[in-house]
Amino acid sequence: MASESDAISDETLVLRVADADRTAFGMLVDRHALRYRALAFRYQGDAALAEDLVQEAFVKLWTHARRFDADKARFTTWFHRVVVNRCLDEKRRKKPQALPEEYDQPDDSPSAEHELIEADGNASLKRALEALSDRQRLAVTLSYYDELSNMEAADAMDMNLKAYESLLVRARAKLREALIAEKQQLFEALG
Amino acid sequence: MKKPMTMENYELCRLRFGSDITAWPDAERIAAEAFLLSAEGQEFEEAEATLDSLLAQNLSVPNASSDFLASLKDIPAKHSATTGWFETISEALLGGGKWFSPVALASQAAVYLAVLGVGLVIGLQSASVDAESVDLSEGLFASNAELFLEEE
Repeated sequence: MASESDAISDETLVLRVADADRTAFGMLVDRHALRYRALAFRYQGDAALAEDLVQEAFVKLWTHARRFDADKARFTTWFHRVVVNRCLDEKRRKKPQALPEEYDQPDDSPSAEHELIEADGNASLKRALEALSDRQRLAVTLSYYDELSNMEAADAMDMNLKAYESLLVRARAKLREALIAEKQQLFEALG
Repeated sequence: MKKPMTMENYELCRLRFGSDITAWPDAERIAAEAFLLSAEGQEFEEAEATLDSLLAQNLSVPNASSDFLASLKDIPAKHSATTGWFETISEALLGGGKWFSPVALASQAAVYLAVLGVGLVIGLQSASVDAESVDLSEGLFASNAELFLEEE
């Protein structure tokens, strides 16, 4: 049996948040926080950073709920854009950190044996995703892991539909190339 | 005679309409069926299907930290919701942060006209002065009367 709280739309809750309604804010956290954490993690690859980014997005929700216009977009579309912008900003902000002296950086390149052991598609796909540009990886994350429609994903990335579709086509082409190259390397390793 | 479907077009259609070509619009479906009869088309579709099945796998996400949700719900206690008068006015004037939105432009025009109106009212209330009655040289030269007085 659906509870009364489930019947309240996200858009109604955001309007209440704009009036500083903490209960409404808590309900939006319960409904959506883990989903956006997963989005940020799949894009950034760092769980702690993903939680920080989602925290910042929810702070923005609390302090700028008035900016949401239910006539123009659904809450999830609007909030996707907030999270996506935070993820992209974080990528742009990151600078390489200087390693301390005498730091022996571990060799994390996979050996052929490691390749055999971790030959499952999940690991290969992760590596292929890392080869994408930031925007390409984000597009793949939104379309295939967040299951947004092309239109919703384009909106979240502030792009028009055609541009988004072109971006996704290029991302898929790059993924295919990376996966084919990895397969060939594996065959060569096997001799 | 219609152009045969290229790999790029097929990929775009697949993205737009899904992998099941029977659900595509008629024109695209017919062109796709012809494309898939070719060796290139079959090889491409196989690669696409492999990629689709990989993408369908759920990339595992580690569990959230134990206080993740609690810290989010704590946000209202740590941050004031911006409902102050300055925020309200600036948002009204700037149309929610956009300087050139219709609302922002209308607000700014209204403020401009109000200031203009106030200035006109103040100007009209002061006594009317015509050019001839204004002696710009006043105070620059000693008057003859002052000279006479000094001589006496």
